[in-house]
Amino acid sequence: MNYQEILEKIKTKVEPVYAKEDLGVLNAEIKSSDIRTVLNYLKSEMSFDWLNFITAIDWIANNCIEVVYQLFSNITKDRVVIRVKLDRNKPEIETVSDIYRTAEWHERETAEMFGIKFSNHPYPNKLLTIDGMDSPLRKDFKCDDMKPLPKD
Amino acid sequence: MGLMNGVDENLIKKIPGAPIFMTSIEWVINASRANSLWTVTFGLRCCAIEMMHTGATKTDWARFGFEVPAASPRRSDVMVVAGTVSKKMAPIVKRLYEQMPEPKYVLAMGACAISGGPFLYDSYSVVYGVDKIIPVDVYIPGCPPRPEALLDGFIKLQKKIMTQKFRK
Amino acid sequence: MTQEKFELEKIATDEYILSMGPQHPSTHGVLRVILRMDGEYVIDLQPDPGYIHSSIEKICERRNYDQIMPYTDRMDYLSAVNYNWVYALAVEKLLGIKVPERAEYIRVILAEINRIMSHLLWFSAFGIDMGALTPIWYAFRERENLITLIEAQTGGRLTHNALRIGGVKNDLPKGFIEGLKKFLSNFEDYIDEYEALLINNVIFTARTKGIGILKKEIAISYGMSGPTIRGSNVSIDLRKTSPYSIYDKFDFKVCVGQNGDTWDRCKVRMDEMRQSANILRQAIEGMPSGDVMAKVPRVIKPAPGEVYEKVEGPRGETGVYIVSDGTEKPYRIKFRSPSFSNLSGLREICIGYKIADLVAIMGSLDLVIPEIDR
Repeated sequence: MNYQEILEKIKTKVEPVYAKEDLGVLNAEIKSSDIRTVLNYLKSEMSFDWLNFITAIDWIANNCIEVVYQLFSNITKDRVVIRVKLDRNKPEIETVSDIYRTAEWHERETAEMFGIKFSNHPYPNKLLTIDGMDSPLRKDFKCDDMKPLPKD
Repeated sequence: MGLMNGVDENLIKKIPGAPIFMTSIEWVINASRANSLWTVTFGLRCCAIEMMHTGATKTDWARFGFEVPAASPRRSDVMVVAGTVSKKMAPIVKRLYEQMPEPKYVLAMGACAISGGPFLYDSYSVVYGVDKIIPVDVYIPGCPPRPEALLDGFIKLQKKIMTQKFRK
Repeated sequence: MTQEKFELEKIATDEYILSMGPQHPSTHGVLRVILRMDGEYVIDLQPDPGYIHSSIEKICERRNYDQIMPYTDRMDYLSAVNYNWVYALAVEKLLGIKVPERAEYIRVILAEINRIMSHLLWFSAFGIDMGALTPIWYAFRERENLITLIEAQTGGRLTHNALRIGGVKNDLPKGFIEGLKKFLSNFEDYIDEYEALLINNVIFTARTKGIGILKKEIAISYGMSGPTIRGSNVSIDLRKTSPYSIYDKFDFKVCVGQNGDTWDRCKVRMDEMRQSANILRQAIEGMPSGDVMAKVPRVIKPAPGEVYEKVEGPRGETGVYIVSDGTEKPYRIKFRSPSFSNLSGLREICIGYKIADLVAIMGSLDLVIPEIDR
């Protein structure tokens, strides 16, 4: 299926806020309350059985954090990217770890790196960092011991 | 063991002929320590693979006495820190060092253990060199160092052990 | 003072928490696994990574695109060429550069040599976990021959920094192809010997057959890839299902196992070494002549956009996701490592076994811990 057909099928369930095509892959931005409906539909009806990763991007200029879900279908070899924009001061979204089990660890890592809260997550503990490093991948993270690269 | 902790200098001078006797005893004890060092397998990152290569057949470290990689720190002499030490791992390095019995030696292998390596600038979770936590005897530079370089570092450690004295 | 009477029926094992700690010879790196045990059996477990977290993604946001290449081979140091390759593919797609054909063949040769090296090291380390201390000497003899070849081309024994954006830096040196042909001339006999030594050994099969069975639906849902999932009769290999570079020109088969237990995962890796030798022979035959580097601008500034590329590494699906904002440093870069997803499903396949079986199962997943923590 090309990206137009995938977009039409998604539109039968929810209305995306914004959709565009980037290097051949459909990028659909949806509201944060629709994320479970869309991912359930994509997994059960459209055979997208593989979640590559979940990550986030910190757009400090637009004051939002964008969560990105990359999906792939082993049967039809299609790709789709689902994006959700969250408010930077209070980012919250529902978990999808019961739909795709691999999301459990990806959501834990994204939550500690960006300060996002994934509600109803079965085990929301820190994975890689320790206390004292809060949301290190945000653009305004400051740490006393960090040494900047010297400019020659 | 009074001899191993050091003998008082004044006591030796009183006994006739004792300083000459002490040098032979020192040589025997140092040689037996230097030629059978047991290492703690503490490979953290890429340098661990080069450590395994030093023990393999092309460059063989068993010729020099490092035959036994004792996995537990409680029965080993040398700790080879091979890799990056992060802030989460730092208390564990200190605890392992304290579990080793005296006399103990530390080798810092690779750029990451000497000073932080390629992760020195712009990193929030790396300790800049393992000598901020434990005292180091020999530094071996490289990223990762060649097996011949690690062997050279070990031989320098052996020479350092041979110069130890028992007189306070 | 009364003493308790010795009653035979009341002897039972207790529950306790065991920390298979960061410094352990069998965890292949610094991984801590917190186990809840009942006697000798594992009831529950929770992996605790993060002891080698070096903030690579934050560092790469402050480096230029060509300065990131050496960082990519310090994450999974056993398959450094695959990480270099996926990063080069991603940046070339953003820039719209086409790599010359001779460079593609050289990339395939270096990557398949790296795959054989990685599987040989897995073979030695797994033998040591099981208590067999002989395979390491044999496997490292082969590894030394391959390291000499790669060092002649790239200059590095372990962290090769082999590829550049737009191709390869140098052409193959004199004597490389002859050395590779000499290595391949008796390599298949050596693999047969290693299989007979370890994989078909009576003690090894008793310790690994029927242990740690991974079902197909659980494997796909947890995102496991590579030989871990191919042992469960799932035929997903990115070199065949989503071919990248010139892999559609080579004729090789995807190795799968039947039952999904630990022994099948081991057998799949031994078969993959044979298939890699097959691909290397075909690549040496068909290599054309030409340049090895495309025309790349001196300062790399891709247009704003994003890309996700993936390749098949020795452990599974290796991917990189780059968001570019038009400057010479990436805005966000994320590395998708296969061991991260492979380890997250450890709970499903280990419950109810003894702790010695846990060591065997973890060894058969072939984890490299710095790749999980980045």
